[in-house]
Amino acid sequence: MAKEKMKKKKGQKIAPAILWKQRWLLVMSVPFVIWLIIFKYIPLWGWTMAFQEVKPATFALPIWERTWVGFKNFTDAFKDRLFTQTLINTLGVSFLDIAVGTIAAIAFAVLLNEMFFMKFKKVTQTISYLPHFVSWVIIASIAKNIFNDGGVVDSIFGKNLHLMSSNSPLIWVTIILINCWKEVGWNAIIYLSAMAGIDPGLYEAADMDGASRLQKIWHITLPGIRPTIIVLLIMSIGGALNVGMERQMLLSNPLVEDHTMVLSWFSYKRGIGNSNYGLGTAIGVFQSAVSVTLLLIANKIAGLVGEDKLM
Amino acid sequence: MKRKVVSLMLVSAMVAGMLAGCGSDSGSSKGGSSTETGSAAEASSSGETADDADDKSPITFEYFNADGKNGNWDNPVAKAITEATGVTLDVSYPVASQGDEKEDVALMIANDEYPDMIYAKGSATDLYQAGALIDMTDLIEKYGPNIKKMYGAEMEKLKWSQDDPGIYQLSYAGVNQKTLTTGGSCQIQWAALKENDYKYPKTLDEYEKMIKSYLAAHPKTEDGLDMIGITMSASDWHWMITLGNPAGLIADASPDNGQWIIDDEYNVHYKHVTDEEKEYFKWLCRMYNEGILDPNFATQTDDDYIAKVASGRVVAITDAEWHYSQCEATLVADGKVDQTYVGLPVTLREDQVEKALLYQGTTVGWGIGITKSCEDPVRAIKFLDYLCSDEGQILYHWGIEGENYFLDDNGQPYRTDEEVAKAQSDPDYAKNTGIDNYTGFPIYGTGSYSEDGFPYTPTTKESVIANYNTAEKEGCEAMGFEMLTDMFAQPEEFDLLPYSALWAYQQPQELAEKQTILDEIAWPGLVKCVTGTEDEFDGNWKSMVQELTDNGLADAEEAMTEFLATKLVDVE
Repeated sequence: MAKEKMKKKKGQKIAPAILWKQRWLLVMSVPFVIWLIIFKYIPLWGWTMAFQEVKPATFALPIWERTWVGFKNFTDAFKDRLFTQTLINTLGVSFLDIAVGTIAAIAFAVLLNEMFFMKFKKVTQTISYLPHFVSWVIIASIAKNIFNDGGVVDSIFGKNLHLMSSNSPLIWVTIILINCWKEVGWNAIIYLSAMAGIDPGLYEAADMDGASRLQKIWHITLPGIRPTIIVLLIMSIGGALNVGMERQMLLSNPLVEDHTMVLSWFSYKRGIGNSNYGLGTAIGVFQSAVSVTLLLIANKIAGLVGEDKLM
Repeated sequence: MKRKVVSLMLVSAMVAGMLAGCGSDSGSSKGGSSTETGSAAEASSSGETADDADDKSPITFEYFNADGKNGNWDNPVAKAITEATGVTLDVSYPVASQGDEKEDVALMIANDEYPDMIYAKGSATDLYQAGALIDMTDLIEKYGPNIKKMYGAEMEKLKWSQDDPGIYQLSYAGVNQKTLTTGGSCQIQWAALKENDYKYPKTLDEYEKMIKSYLAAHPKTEDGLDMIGITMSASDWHWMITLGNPAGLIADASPDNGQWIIDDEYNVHYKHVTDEEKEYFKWLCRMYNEGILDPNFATQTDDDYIAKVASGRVVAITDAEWHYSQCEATLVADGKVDQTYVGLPVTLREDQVEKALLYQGTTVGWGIGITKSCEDPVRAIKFLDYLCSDEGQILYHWGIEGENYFLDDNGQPYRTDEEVAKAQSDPDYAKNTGIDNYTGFPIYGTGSYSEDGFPYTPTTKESVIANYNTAEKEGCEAMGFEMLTDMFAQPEEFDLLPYSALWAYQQPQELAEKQTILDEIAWPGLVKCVTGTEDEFDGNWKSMVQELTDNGLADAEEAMTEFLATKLVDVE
């Protein structure tokens, strides 16, 4: 990070003099670099499993005694009947998640920001981000009581809507809405703090010019948090393929599994579940590769729209 | 300015968190224990140093019981076993509430750490391939006279496969089992049968009529709950028991061979594509649309299902006896004896014969085995041998003499009425006494006797008749039967089959994967067929069959046929 930051200051070159000047900063970053190498890069060694046949029979063998199978695990994964659907689910659910989640969080933050009655604002904010701290296990059991066949929703509408039992993308809506409800308060915190950083002088000036409330929101608040929005969007697009597996697993049931399956869960199901560890690793590697690609694309787009790139 | 700093810090903290999140991928945590070179052969031979004929020093074995929910070892039977063998078991069971052992076993293999003894149900193949189970052949030869006596000629069947004649597991199923009670292919409350003047249904049509007429006469239970026609447990693996199996039993009139039916030439077919099953599921679809089949059947949990059935508000179920018997205990305890169930010989058409009583020999493939993590396999095998001995069997099935049972003047055991009532109606009976509490232990089956005529289990023909509850007694009398099983085609009517139940055989991993794919499609596919409208049924069924065909149906059937061919044994 330190190096990257330096690069960003335009025109500055990495000269020995500067390195010396920032020696203490560099020294301080050493533990984190070591941490990164140990916990993030050395385990990548395990990716060799993606190119080997690793089943219970060969799992205990040292790595060089296992059979190398080239890209067989990858082709097996691509040929799996669930693979295409899983990819669609992963991308579909995560992009909808990002879109709905971001819009809802910004809207909520704007509403809170416009609030004059401070006590009410604080209380609302606290209540709204509480669900973020509740485990998915609990949320999922509550949600299932509400959305299952014959659950609360069905009772209200007086008919069976099959929200959790029809094998169709209908389940996406359920999952995304629950996720939005759970995370909206938490995500709004960042936008709220970004709004707090907007110069109050701008609002005073707008008042002087007779701007309405909506005009102030549109012309001051939203442009004020634009960099934050872009940065967070890039980050979430990079993580788009890492859709929370536990959320999908807990909210799903085998009847709708075709449409709730996401890559990380797929890797677990075919890898650990079928005791075909090589295949599971291959799916994981594929997921990482696509994630990096998406991140690079998002970064490029951010550069094009004129915001600072992250890398 | 201060606010700006705070907001910047917040943003950067979260961004940093996300960056780290991006980097951590699911592939990174799997390469852990690749350097370990544990070999099963070493582990099995190391135990011989402790070769002491009567070593009863205290020892604790870990035991993973894939079927258990009671992990306690503090009941009288357990204490008596410890006294006789010195062995204390530390019992664990699947963490998933639905009792699916697959994930537990997968994690054991991934960690290369196992309990000393394990009953892994369908996951034993994985353990075998990981080299986790030890070959018990020599140990049994040396230390297991009672094990040899128990399995006798069926010892052959315990061998793993054609290529590997080693014995890696015993069997969880009762040896010399006599089927004295049965759930048949589907069940109905005694109250409904009573109202039909004990004319029990033999076809699906008659079954449907009975359910409907009972529902019409009793729309609510005595507690004021709405009556439900039929319900099922289909949101976890129990779908095979309540949705899948009855289809095979009723529509195909096939014995339970898991997801397969086997024809006279020993060709194996996936059962959820037959025309008979199509007719059965069409019937279910109609029941669903007419409101007879519980609208919540597809998504309710197994616990919900059990609670519903145990409340007495479900007229009919399509279940297996071992699954709904826990509900009956509650019903009896609540005094709702008429709401307990009678197993019925229902088939789709009149010319089919229900095969509930067909005996396929001891079920093999699922059983207790010793793992390579066990440091003293000799003690473990001696422990299993003790369980197989007459003393061990009587202790495990009857309990403590003078407490759970008494001996009469002829040396025959009997239980007090009080004890019998407790065993029938106390849901915690097994847990508190330890009797039949540890599934997976090798056992003699119900209705079997020792060489000197001592019944191994309290369940004998006489005891079954004596212990019928009032509803069952009345029913027997009204129908003119000695036993309820008289309703069914008797075992003697069937030819002996040269194979045990197919579902329990340990299949090679490739074969299991093929079946997994088919089940993955059939499960939601069948539910969709049932929950759709009747007009959509044909289309839904066709697309499910098409998807199965596209995903290796023929291939799997062929592989399964070949697999079965290796398991056929001569029958006289």
